[in-house]
Amino acid sequence: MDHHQRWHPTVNEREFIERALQSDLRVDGRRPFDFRRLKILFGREDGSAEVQLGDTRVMGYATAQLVQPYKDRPNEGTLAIFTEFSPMADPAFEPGRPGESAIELGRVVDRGLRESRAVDMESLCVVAGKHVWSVRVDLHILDNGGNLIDAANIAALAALSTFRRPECTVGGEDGQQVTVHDPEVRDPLPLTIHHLPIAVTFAYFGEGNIMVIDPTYKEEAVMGGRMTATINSNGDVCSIQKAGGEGVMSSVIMQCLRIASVKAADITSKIKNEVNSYTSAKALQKVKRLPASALKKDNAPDVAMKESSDGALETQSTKPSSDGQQIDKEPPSVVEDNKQEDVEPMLSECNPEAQSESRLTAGGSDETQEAISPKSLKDAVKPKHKIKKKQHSKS
Amino acid sequence: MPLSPRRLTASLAPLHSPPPPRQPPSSAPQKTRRATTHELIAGGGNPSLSRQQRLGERGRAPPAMEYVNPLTGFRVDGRRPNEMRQLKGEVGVVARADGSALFEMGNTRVIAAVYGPREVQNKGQQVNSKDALVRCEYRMADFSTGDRRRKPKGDRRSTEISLVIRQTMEASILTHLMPRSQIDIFVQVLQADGGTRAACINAATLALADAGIPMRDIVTSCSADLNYIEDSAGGPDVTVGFLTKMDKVTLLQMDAKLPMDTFETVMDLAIEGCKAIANYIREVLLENTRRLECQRDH
Repeated sequence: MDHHQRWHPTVNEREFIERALQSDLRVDGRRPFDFRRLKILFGREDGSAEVQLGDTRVMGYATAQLVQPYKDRPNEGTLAIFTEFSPMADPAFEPGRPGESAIELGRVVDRGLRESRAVDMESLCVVAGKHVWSVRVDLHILDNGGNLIDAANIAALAALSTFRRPECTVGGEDGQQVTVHDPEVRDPLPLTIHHLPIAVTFAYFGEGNIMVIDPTYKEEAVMGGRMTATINSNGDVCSIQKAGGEGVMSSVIMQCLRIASVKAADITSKIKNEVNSYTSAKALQKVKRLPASALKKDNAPDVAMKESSDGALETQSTKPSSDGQQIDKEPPSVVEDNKQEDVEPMLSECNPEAQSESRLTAGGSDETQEAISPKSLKDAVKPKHKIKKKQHSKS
Repeated sequence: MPLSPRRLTASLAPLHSPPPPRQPPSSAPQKTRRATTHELIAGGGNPSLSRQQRLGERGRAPPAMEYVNPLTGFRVDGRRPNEMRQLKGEVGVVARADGSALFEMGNTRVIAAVYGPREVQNKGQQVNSKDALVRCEYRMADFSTGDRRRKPKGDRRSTEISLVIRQTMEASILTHLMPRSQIDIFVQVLQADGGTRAACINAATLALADAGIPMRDIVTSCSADLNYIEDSAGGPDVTVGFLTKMDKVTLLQMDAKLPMDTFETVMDLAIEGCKAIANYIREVLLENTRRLECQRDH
C-alpha cells in the first residue's frame, strides 16, 4: 500500500501551508487557479512524449499491434492504458505490483479517453472480427512533484497525437490477408482523435472552502480531498473522479467545472501547438535527410535514389515496385529497425536547427513548412507514389 | 442533443419526498421481480447482467436505444424517469461482525461487514497514530453476474472501488476519536444489477452505524443515469456520495461525455436520490434501535 509510506509534513509545515492558503498564497508562489509551467517534449520516435508539469515528469509511449478484436465489438480497435510507477520517482512507490494510486491514475486517464470516445476506434479496424489495431499507451512516472493525473493525461494525449501506425492493406486470395507496409515505403497513419479530454485536478482544504488547481506534492500531502475533472475544450465533461475525501457543495463543483473548462482550452491549444511544431519538424527532417544524394540524383530514378540514401541492405533488384514491399502480417522486420537506428544519428545532427526553426513558426502549418523547404527538392526525395498522393491531396 | 420538453420536465420534477419505491412493511415484493432497464438492454443472453457488468473492465458503451418510452413516459422496467428502485436495508446480518448490513437497490444486493475499532494488525500500515486506520475490501461474488466466471482478486476495477469506498467512509468517520486503532470494512456484492458502487456505500454506512462507530454524518450514495432523463447513445452514469446534513458531495464519479448543464441536472437528480436514501437509512436504523430497546426491556 503505497500511500502509507508517503511523506508526511510536520505539524508546522502543515499549518504553514494551510494558513498561507487561507490568504490565497501557495508555497510555490502561484495563485490558486494557476497551473505550473507545462512543457511537452517529444522523443525521437513517433508516439513518445515527455511531459513536465513543474517538478512532475511523466513519459507517455504509444504503440500498436494487430490483434483479434473483442467478440462483442468486432469492428473496433482497442485502447489500453498502462501505468508504471517506478520507485525512482517517489520513495512511496513500491516496485512490483501497481499500487492503489497507480491503478486509480490509470483508470481515470483511461476513462477520460475511452468513455468520451476521444480516439476513433472504428478506424483502427482492419478486418472486422479478425484484425484490429490495439493501441497501448504506457505511462511512466519519472518524477513525482504532485498532480500526477493531469501530467499523465497530457502525456497520454501528446503520445497519442504524435503516434503513427503503419499502413496496412487487405488482399490475398481470400481477401483476408493483411499486409503491413513498412514505414519507409508508405507513410504511417496518425490516429483519428476527435477531441482532447484534459484532466484538471482540484485540491480541497479546510472543510472544502479553499480550493486550488494543480496541487504540488506538498499540497497533496496536506489536502483534505481531491477532484479530477476531465473536460475538453468544448466544455463537455468527459469524466469526473472525486473518490471520497473532504465533502464540497455541489455549487462549488460546478464552479470547479467552469474553471476547468477554461484551463482545458489553454492546455488543448498548448498540446496542439507542440504537436504541430513536432510534426512539421519531423517533416523537415525528412527533407533534410539526403541533401548530398539529392544533388547528384537528377537523372536517376526515384526508387534508386531512395535505396542509396537509406543505405538499405536489400539490392535494388529484389525490390518489386515502389510500394510493393510486402511483409505478411508482420510489422517492419528487424533489419528495417536497424536501418532506422543507423540513420538516426545523422538525423539528429540537423535536428536542433529543424526544431528551433519550427518552434519559431509556432503555428507550424504546412504552408510555412513548404516555404522553408524548396518544393522541388522535397518531391524529388520522395518515392513516386508519395508524390502522387501529395498532388492528389492538394487538388 | 435536443431535450424533448416532456422529458426535461420529468427530470426536473421534484422527487416525491418519501422515497416512492419504498417497500411496504413486511410484504415481499422482491418476489415479483420486474426486469430492470439493464436486463432488458442486455437482451436474452445474460438476463441478470447489468450494463456495468457487461461492459466490465473494458467499459464499452451499450448500443443506443430508447430508455424512456416516448408514449407512456415510463422506463423499460416500468419506473418513471426520476423514480428510484426499491430499497431494502437490513442491519445485523453477519453474526460475528461488529456491525453488518444488507442493502438492496432493486436487484442489486450488497452485504457489508465492519470489524473494529480494533488494534492495528499491521503496524506498518499505520499512517499516523492520531487517527484510526480505515481499510476496505470490495469484492464481487463470482455468482453476482450472469457469467459465472471466477474473477481475479484485486483486479483494477475492484481495487479502485475499494479505494473509493474507503475514502468516502473516511470522510464521514470521526477517525480522530479512535487513535491507534483500525476499522475494517468488507463489502461483498451478491447480486449486481447496476449501481453496485452506490449500494456498497449505503451498505457500508448501515454497517458502520450498526457497529456503533462515531460518524459525522450519514453518507449515502445514489447513481443517476442520463438515459433516464433523455435518450442518448451510450450510458453516462453519475455516482454521487453525499453527506446529507452537511449538504456536501464527497464522492463523485462520472464517465462519458456530456455538456456541463446536462451534467448539473444529472448530479442534482443523484443528490435528490441520496437524500431519499438517507431518509430511508435513518428509518432502518431507528427501527433497529427500537427493536433493540424492546429486547432489552423483556
